[in-house]
Amino acid sequence: MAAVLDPISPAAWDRAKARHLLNRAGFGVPAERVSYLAGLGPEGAVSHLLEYESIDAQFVAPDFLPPPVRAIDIRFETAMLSEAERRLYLMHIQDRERDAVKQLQAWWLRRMHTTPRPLEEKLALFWHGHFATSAQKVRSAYQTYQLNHVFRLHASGNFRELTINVGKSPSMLHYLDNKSSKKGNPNENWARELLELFTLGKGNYTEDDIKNAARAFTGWTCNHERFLYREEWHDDGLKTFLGRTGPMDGWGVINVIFDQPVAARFITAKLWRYFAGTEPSAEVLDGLAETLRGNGYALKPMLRRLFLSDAFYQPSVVGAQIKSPVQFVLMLADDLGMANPPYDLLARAAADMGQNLFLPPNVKGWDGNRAWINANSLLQRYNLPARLAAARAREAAASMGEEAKELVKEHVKERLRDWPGDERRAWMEAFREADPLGKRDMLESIGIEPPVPDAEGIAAVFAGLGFQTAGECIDALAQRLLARPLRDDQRATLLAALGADRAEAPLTPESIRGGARRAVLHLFLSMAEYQLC
Amino acid sequence: MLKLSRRAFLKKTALFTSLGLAPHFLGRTAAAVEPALSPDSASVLVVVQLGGGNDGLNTIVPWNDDAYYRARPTLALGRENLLRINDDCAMNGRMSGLMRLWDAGQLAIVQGVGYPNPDRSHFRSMEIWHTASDADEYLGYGWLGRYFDNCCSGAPVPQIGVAVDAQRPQAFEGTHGLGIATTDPVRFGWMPGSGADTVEAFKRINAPDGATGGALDFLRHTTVNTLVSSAEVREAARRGGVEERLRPRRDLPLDVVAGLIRGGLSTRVYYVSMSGFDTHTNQANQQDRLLGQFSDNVAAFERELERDGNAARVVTLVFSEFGRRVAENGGGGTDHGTAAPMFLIGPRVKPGLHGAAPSLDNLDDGDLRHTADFRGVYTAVLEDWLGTDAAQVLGKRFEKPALLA
Repeated sequence: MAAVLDPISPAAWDRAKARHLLNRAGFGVPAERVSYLAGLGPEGAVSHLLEYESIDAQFVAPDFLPPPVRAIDIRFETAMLSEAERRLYLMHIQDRERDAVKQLQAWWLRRMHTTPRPLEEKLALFWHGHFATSAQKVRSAYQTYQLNHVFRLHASGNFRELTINVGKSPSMLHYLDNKSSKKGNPNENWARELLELFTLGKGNYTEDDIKNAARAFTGWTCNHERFLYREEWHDDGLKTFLGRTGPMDGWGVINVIFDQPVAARFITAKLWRYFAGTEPSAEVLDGLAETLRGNGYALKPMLRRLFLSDAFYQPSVVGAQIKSPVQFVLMLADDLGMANPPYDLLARAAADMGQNLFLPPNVKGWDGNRAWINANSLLQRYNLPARLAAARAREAAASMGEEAKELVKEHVKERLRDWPGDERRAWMEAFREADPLGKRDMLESIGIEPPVPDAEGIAAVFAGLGFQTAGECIDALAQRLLARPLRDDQRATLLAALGADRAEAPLTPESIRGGARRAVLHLFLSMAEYQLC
Repeated sequence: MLKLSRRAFLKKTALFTSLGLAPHFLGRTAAAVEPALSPDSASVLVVVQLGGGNDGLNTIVPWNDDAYYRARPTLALGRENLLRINDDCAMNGRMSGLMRLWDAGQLAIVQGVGYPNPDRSHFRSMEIWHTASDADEYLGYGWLGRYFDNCCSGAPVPQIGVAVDAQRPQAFEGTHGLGIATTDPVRFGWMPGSGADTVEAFKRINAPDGATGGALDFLRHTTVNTLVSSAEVREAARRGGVEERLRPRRDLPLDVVAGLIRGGLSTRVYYVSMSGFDTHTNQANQQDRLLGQFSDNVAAFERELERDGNAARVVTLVFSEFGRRVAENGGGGTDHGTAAPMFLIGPRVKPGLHGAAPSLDNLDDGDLRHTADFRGVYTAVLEDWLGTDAAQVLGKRFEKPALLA
């Protein structure tokens, strides 16, 4: 009997499997990358994605983060101001931080989209949702980036080390209030969430354990942007935590936590859910947790086993995960052929769909999967492609050059030559009034392809597909855009959208009209299947 | 596209009200088209947000308090610009519409509303009002979102909350993502293209096929529900004679709300907003103009509801994220402040002045001290109007003023 965690055999490795792996280990499936991974075989593909340190990734750290502001500096800066002026200054600082966080969102989206190390960012996003803090409370863009950097640095490193570094980050110390936790007046927030949400899960500790852990973590604070251990704040008395007794400090508590077998199971289950999109079976969970624990919480061996396992490539897993908003907007940018997507707009769109980067709704992060979907967010997903494409088309049409305008005038004159005078005048009138998209539609309606393609990206998407008939066009699009096969009735609807009466009707990227391109792409991107990866 | 003309519709309702049937009848006709609305769940809340921090002192004016004139040598409103309420206060003279509602016994003014440790940042204070949090609490979900999640037996529909606005307010955020936002209800839903990408084609490619019950099935069924829900919104808009929104509006789209109610939409909470109240300079012109607009809009709204026989079903709540400082600044305006009055409007409110006007002498570093907590007003609305457990929605029990009849 084949065990579910046995590695997939190289003979079973194909383009579809490579595409699935890349879909989950990254934020998109560009054709060349899929081909490359397909050619490497399963071991090679997983290694390529997992051992990413050897891949050069040159990214400039954000240069727009406002310098950390210290209370004493503010007092100095505003010493000569009136009360009202001082308030205005403070508000200005807050606004600056808020704007910087928005820029950071776009910065990260761009990185997720363009990095040659997709798994690094996909894991960083997982950790951001797992060890959730929000810039709503932690108002410093610098501290927000600082923690983001920790997630990236330790993304596929050691989970225990990562946990310690998160606990020491100013962002987390602030968010869960440990920075002001003192001997005699400990704050339980960090201790509670550490046990409940970050490492063990409910039912695996008691309220007393939380109290004692909180005492142990007293002294873990920060001095502006640096972790600081304040001996004088630390409660060094005896504590009993998960059955162990001693004068534990924060590091001691962490050691005891990671001694518990359940620590490996808790995070492993979450990682499986994140990458596979299903509930792990007992066998999968046991096996992977064993690997994690057996390697001292080093993540790579467990992740390697996960990505190579037969279980990961089961039909119940492939093409069955609802794209997160971030995944959705980045893949959409690719599918609309956007060479340089407006990342700030995409960040806002992802926020509207329920995933506001750096601003999760609470410390639980995002539930994900089906929780992403409700009437609102679904309409956002369905309408975003049309909105984005329309915006690009409007830009393109509005920037029609003088030559093109002359060309249009000539062609229009010719086309309308046989029309009755008043109809021609009415048309010209309407054309003058129309906005760029309206003009485009009107030109197409009298058989003139606008000299500026509706949105260069879309034309390029079709050009790269290589088809000779309408049927081949539909199949090529389905291959590129969807993770699941089409139903016959869906194929028929899409053929009709192309204006073709049968699959064999000749059609090439050169002969297809702008209107047909737009309609069929719009329908593809409006399919429930498109929400899945 | 069949469009029931407003005149025809109004003729119909006039006939029925003349038969002496209760206004609830309209709720029941809606039920014939929508999933059943029981008569006592027909109450509707309309939230009006005045963005920017409306200066309460020049809205409900303490006209007999010398301190007011001392603090505002240029901005204090003179007698000729005031509409007397009583010896202690008067309304800004541009709010004649609101004054008529006062005279008709349909206006409740809750004085001195704020919260402890007030924040004077637009974003932060607005967040606090939307999430009903304490000043040192950071909540992601909104008070209305939590109401949508908690209330109503059966499955609440997405359009249980409708914001006639470009963005869904944070107040609507909840675990189930209920409550929609649209500036143009006539066209709300999936946007067809200009070619063969029609709504019919969209429906066909997403038709459920009785398959597995997995993610795809879930998505398809949610799509169907979304189509039904958005169709209901569009239908109600058409039935109610709501016009297509061709250009962005800066005033309160309360006529759209009246139309949707008239069209029988099963919504419990509507949300609209207008901005511009951040009057650091040129307050005299700007605030008066905006208050005039606000007052006219709200008065027209109530008249429309009255004509449709819907007025008794609707309570309108008006708030701003903070008031402004007592003293004028050097530039013809005022800066961010704290407490300010809230309004509750409708035939079913307990009309009159509620609570205590904040003192102009006992200030907190130049700012008014609040005498009522806004969460109390929310509690009154949640319990006495929407009929739900306020403590469950707000997370805490707040003292409840008697604001609804």
